[in-house]
Amino acid sequence: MNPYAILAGLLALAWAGGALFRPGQQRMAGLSSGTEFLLMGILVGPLGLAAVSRPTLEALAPVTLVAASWLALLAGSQLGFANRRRVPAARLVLGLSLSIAAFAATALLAWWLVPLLLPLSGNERLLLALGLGCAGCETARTTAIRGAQRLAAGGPLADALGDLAGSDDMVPLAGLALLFALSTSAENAAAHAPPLTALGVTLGLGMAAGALAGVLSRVEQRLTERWGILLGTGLMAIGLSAVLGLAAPAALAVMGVTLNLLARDSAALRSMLASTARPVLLPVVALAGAQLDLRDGLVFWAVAALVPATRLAIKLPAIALLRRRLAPPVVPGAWAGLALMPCGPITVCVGAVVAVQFPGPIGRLVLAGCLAAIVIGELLGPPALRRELQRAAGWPGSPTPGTS
Amino acid sequence: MSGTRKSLPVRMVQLLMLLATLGLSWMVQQSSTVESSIAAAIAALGLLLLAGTLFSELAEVVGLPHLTGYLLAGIIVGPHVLGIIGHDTVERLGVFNELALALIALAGGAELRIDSLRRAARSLVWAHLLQIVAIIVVVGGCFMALRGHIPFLAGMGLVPTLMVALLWGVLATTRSPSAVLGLLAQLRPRGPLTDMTLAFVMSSDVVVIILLAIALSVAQLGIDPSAGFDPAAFGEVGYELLGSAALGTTLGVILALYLWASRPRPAAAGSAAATAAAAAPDTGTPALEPAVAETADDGGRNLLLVLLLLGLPMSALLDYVHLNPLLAFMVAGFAVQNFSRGGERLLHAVEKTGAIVFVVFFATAGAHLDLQGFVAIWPVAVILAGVRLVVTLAAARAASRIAGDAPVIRSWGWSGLVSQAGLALGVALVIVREFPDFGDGFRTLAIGVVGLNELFGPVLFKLALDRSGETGRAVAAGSNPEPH
Repeated sequence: MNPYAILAGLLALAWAGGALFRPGQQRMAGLSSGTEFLLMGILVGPLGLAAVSRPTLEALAPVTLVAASWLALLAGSQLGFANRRRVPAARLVLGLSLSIAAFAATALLAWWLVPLLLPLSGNERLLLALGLGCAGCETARTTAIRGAQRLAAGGPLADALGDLAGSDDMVPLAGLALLFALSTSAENAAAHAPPLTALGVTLGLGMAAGALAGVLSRVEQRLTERWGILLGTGLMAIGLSAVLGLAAPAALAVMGVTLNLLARDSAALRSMLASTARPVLLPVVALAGAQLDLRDGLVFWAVAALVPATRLAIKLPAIALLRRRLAPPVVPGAWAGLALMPCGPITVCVGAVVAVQFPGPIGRLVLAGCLAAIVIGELLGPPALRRELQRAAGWPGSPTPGTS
Repeated sequence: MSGTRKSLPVRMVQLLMLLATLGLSWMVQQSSTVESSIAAAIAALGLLLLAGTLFSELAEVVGLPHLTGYLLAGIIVGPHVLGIIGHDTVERLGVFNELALALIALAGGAELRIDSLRRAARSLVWAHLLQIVAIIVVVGGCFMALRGHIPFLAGMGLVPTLMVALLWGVLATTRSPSAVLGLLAQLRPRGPLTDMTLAFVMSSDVVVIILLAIALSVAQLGIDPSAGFDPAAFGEVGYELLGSAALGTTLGVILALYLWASRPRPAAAGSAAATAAAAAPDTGTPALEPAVAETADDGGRNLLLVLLLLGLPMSALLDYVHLNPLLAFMVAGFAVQNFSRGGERLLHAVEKTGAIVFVVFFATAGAHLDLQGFVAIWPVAVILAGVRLVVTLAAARAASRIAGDAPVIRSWGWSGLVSQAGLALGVALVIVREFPDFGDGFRTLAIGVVGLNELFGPVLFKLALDRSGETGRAVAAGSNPEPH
């Protein structure tokens, strides 16, 4: 049977079943990272019931690529925004710095640790280190923002956490662009081009697609036609990037940033794009779960421990920087960094795309790192967020005047 | 959708963006070392969507329907003109066509209402009867008259040629529900001409399935008498019709149940509206974050997602059990519209896919059109298409007079019946499979004629809807407004 049909059928059952059991009232039910779909993917994948086989997963690779890239487009279009507000420049810099620190620390540790457990060539070692760096540096904006919404919380701390979470999406995507540019194994044009050229083409393609969509959306107000423009430009950019062997998610992220800059009513476009987030996220998460592969043994578990542990080591002390900027009584506690542990769509995107484009130890281990970061983040993040918001008296429902 | 006048500078911007899109795609295609891949198919889908949308916008300038713009986009970027999209890539896009066809058929079924069908029953019966008889006799006769100019008939005896003419006649009776629905999505017409055309083209699918089975059995006897009469063919028709109706009804029940379970509740809707309003108090724009957007959703977008997710596996299942997807999805839409309270919500959700589904379907169809093959047979194709047009017009007018239809149907009832598309090509494929000796030539000629009808049929129907004053009436009446 058509693998697309199998995927669609599974998702339809999971999704419609869920909707039928919560008709109308609890639309925000479900984990913000979609971890339940991750587990469903593992359950129906080759490691579980094997309802979805490895050949089927290979046939579904385009779905993964398109959906993951679309998530990157969403992230690009929301750069500098968190929960309908512009992120203050200082927090944007802090969020980016945290993310770069987590990226660098994870990549360096992986560069040192993994070759001790697994023989790799020089290029493979570099790619794996970059991939694992990407796996550990995003903070799920949905967790901080949606978590606060679910708790009806508001206030400076909720805003600060949301701002930090909304600032770091571009770091893993830039890392992904570098990873693809440095790859020498792919049978495509990018493999023969110098890395800087490949990076430049990724950037140029994303900007061209964003400019096309931005200019066309300025002269087109009809909703259906706007969808046609966004979908058409997005799919074209994804396909052309993939044809050239470039990182499609990185190109789409650049497209999102450009679109946001050029469109006249960027808020409405962001809203349109945001409405697709969860429907697009779920297949990627489910497919990422199904792709999980344990054949690397010890190194798998080492990577699965390394990524979340490094994130924790960076995020916990880093929150001290935030403590200096927030006045009492909303000073975050010593463990507030845990609230920034959840990873979200971009981490899934990185794991799924690398797994699809680099079949072998690099793809398997980067995916393992991503999924470990997601699961551990989902376990640690929301309780910590709840505790911090409660402690900071931003919950329930008493936003500090003038802050939101 | 129509009626929005854009200034010349806007059109120039669209033209420039179209050229930029084509240029970018062409450059990447030239620099790629990969002949055909999934990545190329994704890029092709995006290009067809974008180029189709822009071509349709530019087609508006000269009064052409959007469908013609989509087709032209497919022809121009396809393998026979610019060659940005190759043959293999076009084939790979078939899966999206299945999904598009499913949604088109679902919308078609949901547009049909029992009370309007009852009112139009007499007209429909007469129209089908006269169209079938006139087209099979006259177009088949014309085919016979042209047999000296049709290469694949060379050396064939009189009786077998007569049988091929019969098959051609059946092929000529096919219509294009997708073209009609595509125009309805663009023009939002309302009135007797719209209702009658819709009812006719949707029911013609059933008629064609039965006719084809009969014609194939008769043709088998005429072309190869040793084969004998095979009554199993009629069993297969029964299986296809009843099976498709049964599966379609099941799908309709599932959709109706979902619509009932996810119906908007007044309290929830109020709460959602309050949340949405709180989310964007200053700008008046919808909320930015997914969580808030989901809260404000009344289930419409979720319903669309369910439709998309159900469409593909259902199409695959129907294909697997050799049932008719068009008929099954049409029955599902019909069941939801007429036997549940969710018909309007279903219709509205499917309409949201509107132009996007039609762009994909028709731009891909355009890319499929074999221009080189057409060049070889164009005189015969033009004559056959012209005769079919005249016969369709004459039969429609005669049927309207007998049934006592409204003047607008008498004048323009024929116009929506000219288009042919996927169903006709499907019939041609069945004939190729059954008669491989002459099938390929038959298919090439069919592609040529169907291509002509596909290009000019929507233009004629748009002209008719505009002249009859039915264009835009649905919007004026407040139903199915263009969402902004």
